Amino acid sequence: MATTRRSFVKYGLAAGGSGLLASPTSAMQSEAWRQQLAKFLCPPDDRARELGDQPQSPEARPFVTPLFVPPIMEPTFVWSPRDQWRRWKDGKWTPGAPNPLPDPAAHQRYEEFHPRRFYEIHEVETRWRYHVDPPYTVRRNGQELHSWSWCWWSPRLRDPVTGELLSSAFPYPASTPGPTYAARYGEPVLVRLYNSLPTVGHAKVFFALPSTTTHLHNGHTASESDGNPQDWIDSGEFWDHHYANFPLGFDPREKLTTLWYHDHRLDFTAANVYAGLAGFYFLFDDEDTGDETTGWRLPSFPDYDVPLILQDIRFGYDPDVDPAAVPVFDNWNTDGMLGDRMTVNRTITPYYKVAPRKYRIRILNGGPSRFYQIFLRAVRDGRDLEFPNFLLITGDGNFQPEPVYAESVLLSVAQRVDVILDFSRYKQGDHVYLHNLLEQTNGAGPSGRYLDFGDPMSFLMRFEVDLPPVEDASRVPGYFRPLPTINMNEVKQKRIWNFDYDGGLWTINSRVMDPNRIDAGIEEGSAEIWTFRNGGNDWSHPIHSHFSEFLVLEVNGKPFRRFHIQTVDEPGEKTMKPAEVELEEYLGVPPEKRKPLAVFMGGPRRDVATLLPGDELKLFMRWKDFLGKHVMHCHNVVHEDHAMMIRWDIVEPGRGFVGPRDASEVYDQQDFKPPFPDPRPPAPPHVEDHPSNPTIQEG
Amino acid sequence: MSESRRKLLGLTRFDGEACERPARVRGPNADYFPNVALTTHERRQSLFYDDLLAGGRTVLIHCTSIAQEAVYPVLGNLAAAQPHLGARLGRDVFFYSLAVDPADTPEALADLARRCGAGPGWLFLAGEAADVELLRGRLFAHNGPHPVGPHGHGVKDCSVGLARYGNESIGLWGACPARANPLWIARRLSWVVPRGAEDAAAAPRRGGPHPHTYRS
Repeated sequence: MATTRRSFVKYGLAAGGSGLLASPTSAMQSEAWRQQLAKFLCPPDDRARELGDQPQSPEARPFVTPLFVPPIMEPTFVWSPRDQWRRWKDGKWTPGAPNPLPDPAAHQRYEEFHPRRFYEIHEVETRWRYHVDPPYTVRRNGQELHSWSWCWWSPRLRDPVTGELLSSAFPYPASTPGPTYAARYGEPVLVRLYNSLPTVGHAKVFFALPSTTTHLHNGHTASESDGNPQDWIDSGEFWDHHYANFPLGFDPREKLTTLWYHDHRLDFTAANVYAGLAGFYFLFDDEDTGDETTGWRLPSFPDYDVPLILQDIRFGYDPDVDPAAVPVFDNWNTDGMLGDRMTVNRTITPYYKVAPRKYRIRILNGGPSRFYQIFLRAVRDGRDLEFPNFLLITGDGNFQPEPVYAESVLLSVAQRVDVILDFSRYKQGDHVYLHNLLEQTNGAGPSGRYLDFGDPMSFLMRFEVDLPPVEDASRVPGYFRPLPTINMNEVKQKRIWNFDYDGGLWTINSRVMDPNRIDAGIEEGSAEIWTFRNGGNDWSHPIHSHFSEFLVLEVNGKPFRRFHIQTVDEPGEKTMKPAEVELEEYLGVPPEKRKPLAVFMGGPRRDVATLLPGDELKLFMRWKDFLGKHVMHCHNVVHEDHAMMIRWDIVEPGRGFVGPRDASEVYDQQDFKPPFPDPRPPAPPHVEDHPSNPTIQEG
Repeated sequence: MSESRRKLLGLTRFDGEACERPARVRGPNADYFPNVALTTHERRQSLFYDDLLAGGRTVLIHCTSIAQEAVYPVLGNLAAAQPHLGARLGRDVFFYSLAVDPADTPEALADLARRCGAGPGWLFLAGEAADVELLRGRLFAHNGPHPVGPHGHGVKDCSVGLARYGNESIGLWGACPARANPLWIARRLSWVVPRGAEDAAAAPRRGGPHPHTYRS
């Protein structure tokens, strides 16, 4: 067993030390005690608290909590094609129509992509059941109490299992992860997102900021609907997100399939996502229909198409504060934070009953900082039956050109894969475990070591083949859709981004996030070549740029061709050193001669570039269809909140620039609202001149 | 803060009224922050948690040293943020500059504060080296080893670029670069100030998006 846990003596001292601090004993005044204490209290020049040094979460038995499958969003209003114009132009409000109506002037290309469906969703604070045992579930006065979290609620939701409309009684069915959107290409939608959280200072989840902005990760979305970090809403406000649901440049090769939404508040992304603000957004089309009798015939949504969001959470339990255990957030460690309870869809190590047939499982690493390398293990009668391969159909939410077999999948934060799991090979009563074997002891990145299959930290969830056999009309086609082409004639600019560390902050090109500074002015309709370089040899960064996917040109100087899949050599000697990153010409060989990959680390097209220590990736990206501000950032959200983010803007053709530039140089209007307005009436105008430099006044 | 503890730390007199002060509400991080004794540049003894954090204050904390300031200047930036805070600075909003270099005496810090034009709510804090180290380790934890960086002359840890801001009475803490835009530093402090509960209960207001001006 790998070393994931430090000595128990250390736990006791670390946990007890804080209590001793507060007690008025003369012992704490002594120098000897100070030094003894300092050994266990994150001395700044040594190593900070690692996962094993922190107080542990309360015990939680694995595989006794059923997997939570998020409900499905239903529109509260549908515009008919005939009356969509008139309804706005007359300024009339029809019962059921959004009130107030969306403002067309606030959205780019609103009339061109007039929304067809209107969704309403609220962010709310409520109790959420992470586990069925105490102290996660506590019975008080005949009522079950759970852990305070931030959840999503909508007045119209559909049950994923029964297909029925759910009762809209609050708090049920508020949930985290939030409800799943089932959108379709060609059907623009408008999502009205209400921040219905308690105001600052009144929330039970005290570490997160009840001021939110919801980003649709991966979406080809205009800036104002994208959930930019500086476009937040406070409690009691709503924001209209217009998702036009068309692929970049109307190129069907640019289509996406598995997207997710999550909070992106400036400085508070990690806290707010950790509090629960995340969910899924699926995009279907005529090929990937969500119906196994049409199109590519992939397993049907939602019965056999199940999203899984992996998040590791640490819980604290203090019955004096709250009867149930609550997620504990670490505000103080800038490297990242790890949890010691693995949750899948915010249920701790759950089980999920499946029928012996094919399922499409969409797996997302929901962070905040952990990297996963997932494996499967099938068990019959308590003995290992086999270690099945994953059959991957997508990477980062877009289809691979062809299905890929892999023994394991490396998921850095925010990365996604859709896999087909075929349970028809198993008998009733068989179990298939989902494991994470990548060891990580601090937020900076994987340790380079591996866990055993038996390590309690490795278990993520269990599929139980338990439901009666059903008809399986689904198929996995041998070919999906081609990758977008790389055309160097479109390239207008090359940029290099160096990810490093300085002064306690995570930096990009030695700069940190400034919402008013534009580091790249990208011309609309152009392409660029970006180089992502990890300046450190001790930490890893999953880098995500909003708005468009990229195509990998080079990994560590090796050309990445269209049929390459990134993997590591030598599955027996798995370490995360960049020298061992291999590009396997997987798709270049005939299907019958292909060997399963040891690790799937991504195909040519992605939206998260995993930079392991010392890595460098060269990428080709396109920007089309919309203008405005977006960001590129590290998706280890703790790094992001410690300023590893830059703003780039899409500008009109011919107005591109290298940057950095202040936003006021690029746009006319800059808002200036005083953050602490003076409640007194405005002072009479000055008759005397101000001193030339007010800071040098004496006295 | 118990009376015995105050006596223990030689703090029986604090602002002349310490003994009469009612017991303060402990915030969620009361056990996490060491309640170390610090000296302000105005030569006042203060306990970090009881006197500087508690009482509903909204604070911004960063590390500084006179030697470090010469190569990695941030104080001018905080000085520029002061006017945006108006009368709140010194009333319920405070800046704390924690001196991490033992060579920086309260006299030197007072001089530094004067040169920065520090207003009434901006305190430069010095303390015993071990206390300051403990506090800094609590506020700015890194999993080492991080290199000191190009600006890090003379200072072992490299937290000087980072400022924590928050309000301990409600347990809400964020972080921002100490050299962030001064207006945005002031804005950030306004985010963590407790608000009335009625804001959320009112009819929903449109927060955005606003009509855009991307096209010239």
